[in-house]
Amino acid sequence: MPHIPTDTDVYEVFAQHGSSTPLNHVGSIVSPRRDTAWHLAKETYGRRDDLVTLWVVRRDDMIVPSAEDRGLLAAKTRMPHRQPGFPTARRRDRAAAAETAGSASQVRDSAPAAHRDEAPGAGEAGLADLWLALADDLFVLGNRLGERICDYIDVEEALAVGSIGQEALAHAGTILTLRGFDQPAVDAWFFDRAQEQWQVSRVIERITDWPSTVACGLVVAAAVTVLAEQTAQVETDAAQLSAIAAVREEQLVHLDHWRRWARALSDWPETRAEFTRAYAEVTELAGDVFGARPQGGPAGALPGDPAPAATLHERLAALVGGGPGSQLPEHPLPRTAGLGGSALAHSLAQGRVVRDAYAPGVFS
Amino acid sequence: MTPDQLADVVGAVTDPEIDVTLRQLGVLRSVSLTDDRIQVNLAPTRLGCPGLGEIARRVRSALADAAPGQEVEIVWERGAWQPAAVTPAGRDVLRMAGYRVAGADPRCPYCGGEDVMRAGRFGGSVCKVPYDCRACGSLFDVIGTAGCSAALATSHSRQGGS
Repeated sequence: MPHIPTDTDVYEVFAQHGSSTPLNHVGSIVSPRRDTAWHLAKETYGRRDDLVTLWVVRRDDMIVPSAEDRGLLAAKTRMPHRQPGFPTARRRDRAAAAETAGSASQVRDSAPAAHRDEAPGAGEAGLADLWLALADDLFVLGNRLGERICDYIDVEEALAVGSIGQEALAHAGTILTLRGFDQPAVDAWFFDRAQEQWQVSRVIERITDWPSTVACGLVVAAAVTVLAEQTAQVETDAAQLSAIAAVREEQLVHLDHWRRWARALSDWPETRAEFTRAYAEVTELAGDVFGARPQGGPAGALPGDPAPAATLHERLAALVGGGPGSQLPEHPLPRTAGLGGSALAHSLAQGRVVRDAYAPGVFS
Repeated sequence: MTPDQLADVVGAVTDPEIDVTLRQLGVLRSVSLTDDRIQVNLAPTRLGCPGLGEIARRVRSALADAAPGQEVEIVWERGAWQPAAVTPAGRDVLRMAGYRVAGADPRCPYCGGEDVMRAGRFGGSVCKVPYDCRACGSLFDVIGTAGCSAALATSHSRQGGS
């Protein structure tokens, strides 16, 4: 039970000194009579400053905690972002940290691989197939990230993962639109194909735990930026070029985010071993990122002209090969249809649940 | 109605999130008229903008009132929007609402101070990047970073956030 003090002559004084400052407890007074307490408080605490308001409360009337109530006052949530002062305190801490960290945190920042000369127009048809396969990867990645946005105790990370997932889905749709799909065709492509018809990379199966998800996100963002840079060299249509440039700009931000995570997870002693293992496993599977088979082509075949795939793979290696224990194969491997495991199956099932809940005709 | 008049109708449609018109925001690119068909070209501020459907609905609704019976086609010019497309009036409206537009060194929309710091890379919407003003303590968003890497690099050496 709260402790109730017995001295009836003690009054607690609360004063507000300016209209933009809160009411503060400024001290206590002892007054033998209730009707003189307020004036005594004003003389004691308000003589030298203007006061906006002054509250005087008899301590006897207040409900205050006793020593054994301390447990009741402890925070009931482990989520710091739920606490009222969080945004201000957090940003102040980070402002201070950023000033002292200096350039140490800037190492290995995103520097896309330098462009190389290509035979003009080489393998343009192959690039379209590579984009289509990457759209599959982006779709699953976006869905899986979307499931995670409520998992974090860090509000900035929830915003980042939500934004990256949202943009991955938008990029998947944009890729199809650039290929000439209209909206119903985009919907049909993503929601009506059976899992066996999907051609996701083997890395997609690994979007499970957080270290693997970071590695997968890094591989996919790197692959998209590499392919966008290659496409910008051979594409001539202005509308396609500006859309591809926007995809690249946005994915570079994602790539940078995943690299920060990769750096952090491999720097922290607690996570280093687990992340190094996850990164090795994911990069070993990433050999097929540019191994899309041509639409309608024989299963297991590389694109008609293997040269762009090899060049792209080399650039991908420049972006992801430097990570801890990268096992990225030396040469690109073909993709296989029907992979994706539970990550793809779950995304497709969830998509169906959402679509079935809408009124008929919403998705034509 | 002439294409210019139709463009005024579309240009006066407001964004679903901020009370700024599509013309002020630079989202309206062009309006053309062929026989009975109106083609509206719009540029999304970001590829992943979730407001595209609502913007299209508002444009169709405004055109249905202004030019009943005419077919409307909406073309999204992906990647075409640039922060420079925001009109001076649009910049004022956004500043009054607590936003800045990417492009130059960001300044606090509340106190005009230049001592601002990026507070992360991802804001409450995909088109926004959060900033702190260290002069007056206000938090504000900078709009539009797609295709504008210069704006992202601005305070790179002292960025906060994740």
